[in-house]
Amino acid sequence: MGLSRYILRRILLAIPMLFGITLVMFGMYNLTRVDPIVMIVGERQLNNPEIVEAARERWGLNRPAWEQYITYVTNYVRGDFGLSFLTRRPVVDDLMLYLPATIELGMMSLLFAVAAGIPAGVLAGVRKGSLFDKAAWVVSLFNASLPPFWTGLIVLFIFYYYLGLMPGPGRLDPRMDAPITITGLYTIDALLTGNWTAFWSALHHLMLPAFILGSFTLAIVMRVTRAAIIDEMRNDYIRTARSKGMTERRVVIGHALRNVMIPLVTILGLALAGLLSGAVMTETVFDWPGIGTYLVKAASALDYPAIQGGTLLIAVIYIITNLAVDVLYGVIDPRVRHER
Amino acid sequence: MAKRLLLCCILLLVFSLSATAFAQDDGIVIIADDVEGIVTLDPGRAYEVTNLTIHHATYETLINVPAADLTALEPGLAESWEVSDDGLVYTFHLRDSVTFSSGNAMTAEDVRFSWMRLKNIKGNPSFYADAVTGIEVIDDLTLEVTLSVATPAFLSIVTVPAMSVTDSAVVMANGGTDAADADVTDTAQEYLDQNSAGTGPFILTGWVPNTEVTMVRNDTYWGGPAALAGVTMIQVNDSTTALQQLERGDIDIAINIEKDLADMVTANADLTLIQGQSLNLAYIAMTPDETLGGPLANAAARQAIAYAIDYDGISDGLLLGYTDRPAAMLPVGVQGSDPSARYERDLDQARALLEEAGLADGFDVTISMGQGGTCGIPPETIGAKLQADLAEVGINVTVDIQQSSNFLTAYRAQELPAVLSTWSPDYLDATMWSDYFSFADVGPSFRIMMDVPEIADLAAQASNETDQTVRTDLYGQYQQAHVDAAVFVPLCQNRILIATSSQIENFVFHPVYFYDLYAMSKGA
Repeated sequence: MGLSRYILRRILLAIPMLFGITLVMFGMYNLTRVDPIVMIVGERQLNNPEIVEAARERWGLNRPAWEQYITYVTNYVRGDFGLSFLTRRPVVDDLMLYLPATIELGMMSLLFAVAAGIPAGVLAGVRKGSLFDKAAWVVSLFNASLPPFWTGLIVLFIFYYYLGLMPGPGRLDPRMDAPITITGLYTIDALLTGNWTAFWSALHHLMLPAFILGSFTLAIVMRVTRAAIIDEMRNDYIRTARSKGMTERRVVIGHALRNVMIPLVTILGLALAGLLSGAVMTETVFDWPGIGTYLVKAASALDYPAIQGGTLLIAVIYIITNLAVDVLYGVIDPRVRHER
Repeated sequence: MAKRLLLCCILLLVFSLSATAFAQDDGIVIIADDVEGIVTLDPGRAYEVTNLTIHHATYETLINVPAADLTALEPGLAESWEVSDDGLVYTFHLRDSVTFSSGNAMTAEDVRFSWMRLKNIKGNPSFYADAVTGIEVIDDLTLEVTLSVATPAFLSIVTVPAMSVTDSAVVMANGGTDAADADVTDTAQEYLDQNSAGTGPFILTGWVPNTEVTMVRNDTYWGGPAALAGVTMIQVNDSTTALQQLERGDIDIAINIEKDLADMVTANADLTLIQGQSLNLAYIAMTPDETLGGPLANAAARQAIAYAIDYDGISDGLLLGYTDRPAAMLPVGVQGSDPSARYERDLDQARALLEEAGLADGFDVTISMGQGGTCGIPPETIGAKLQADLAEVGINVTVDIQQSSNFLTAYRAQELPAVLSTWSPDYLDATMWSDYFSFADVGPSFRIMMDVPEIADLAAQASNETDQTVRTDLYGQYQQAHVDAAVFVPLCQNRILIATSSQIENFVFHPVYFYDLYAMSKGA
């Protein structure tokens, strides 16, 4: 009861927030002095006043701003994000087309960051000052500081071009057909349809971009884990556990790591939201047809319906992950659960 | 621990090997091109660049333009045609026993349907059919097209992919219509985005936006089947990566690679470099209007700028020689284009003109440009080059780089005294330039407030002239008038660089469709 009421309240709180976002977006759009008509009709057609007027009428650009805003918000409420100026397709369809690629890459990156970051962080924390700790520090600093458009090109050069161990850019081998679309996530779809060659190709193609995109998150996860482990290991309950004759392994994993989960979940929630909103540079280097590339293209073409729809989607992603993190706190930490 | 590490290594190895085993040869050619640039593949609605290649492969037009001679016209789906003396009625005689990929026979009714649909959809390419007022089907293989005004460029217009003949039965079965209200009632786009309904040598089998376009050979093509079994176009953003994929054999052709990578291609015996002369013309425009332009209103000041620009430095230094230098507002390759009608750098002449204009101490000028780049040169680079060139005669240039839509808004609103911009054609007739760079009320000449009666008169005369010798002569005078006015000064005409595996034979660049998949073959 307590939890579901809490979730409901959080969702209701999100409504004025989303409303505020639409207001800010609409205000910003009205502040730019660009005439969207130059985006909608081709350069040649701009010479024809009849076509220009027809387009203004059709897209409602000849109405006063307040009327445009009301139409825009009521359409949003009905789930209609409008047509993109650039692709001439419904923005919702576009977002749904590019979101799966982003989700697949984002999840894989997070998986990599967690799978490598937590053990490395624990080890570095437990063996503070050791050679491993120092090496991990250098590697994580390196990872967090190098720009992905550069590291992406370098790993492609080494592992794809030079060594031939990894596939080139894209989501699949260019000579291979995409698996039948169910979720839009190639690996999942290939598994569901039993298409093993496509599954291996999709998984293989995910590795380099996930490594590049996940590196930054990996560095943060590792640093946070390390710092928290060092903190926890000083506590009395660790000494108690040790004095009870537990193995060091059980002390660290069973006791210390459990308490490290709280700061970690906060970090991972934020990281996940960031990964799901699209990673422009990684997507560009690896020709990954995700939401980041789509939105940057929309922004540079001033494709307002797409920019606004995408911004709203990202806002929703952040709201949902934040909510999920808050709920997870309760699951991990009984104190949070009992407070409610 | 060591055991696990070993296991990981083995897994990784198996994994790597499994993926490299796919590179089998299935006769499908993979091309890295601008798939992102495709908005739709409906020939009645598409008005971008990449779709031209795809439409040229999957559909056909009544008349073709051969790549070897852009001023010639060759029979396509029409075997022959006649034009009435007043230039208003065109009669086309169609090729017999041509079938669509659906198996339906291609008839005059299909041509009528396709062109009326294009016109009534009122989409971006609909202006091609603006002049068409009526189409009468005489019999299955003959049709008569009536135009509202004599349009000598009409035969050139017929060659553009938007004027392709579509299978009316298939298009109608999928929601297409040629009715007057087609702009709201036609729903065939969804079908045509994923399937083709044409007579061409290839059949469209799918399009994943931003990712890939797939086509297979049409085995029943009337001209005989194509050499390639199929073609897949994929999106590759970065030229360097595209070349790596080419060298590793993952792709066969990389379209539009950066000019500084050309040396890498020529140095590799397994690759071939192809230069495609485009008709994209980059120009500087300077307003002759006193209030907007200040000192620029003086023709001598504009001429001085035209004399001060280091054209060879731009061609050889910035573009490494991979460019052409167009004549004054008619690119190389177009009827009447006279490459001698242009400026060459002459600093003494520039200084003398400034003195004559009473501007010996120089003046300030702001040159605006979009972010898009010029012949592949980033705006910052070309801006700095112009700044340095003009500084030599005391002209102080401020470079103003704007977001592209911003730039176009301001240019259209007649707010920019000097701009650097580009112009690309829709079809291969000189009017594609002279209609837009000549008159005070339309096109870039309107935006820059040029009102030169001599240029306008010559453009109007040449546009309506049907005698080709007279027309060529008129265009000669037209270009000279542009040189004298110095409102529009052409800088460069882009060449598109294409890298192919040396197995690819007969890659023919075409200034309108970019490349022809039918002629292409892939050797061992």
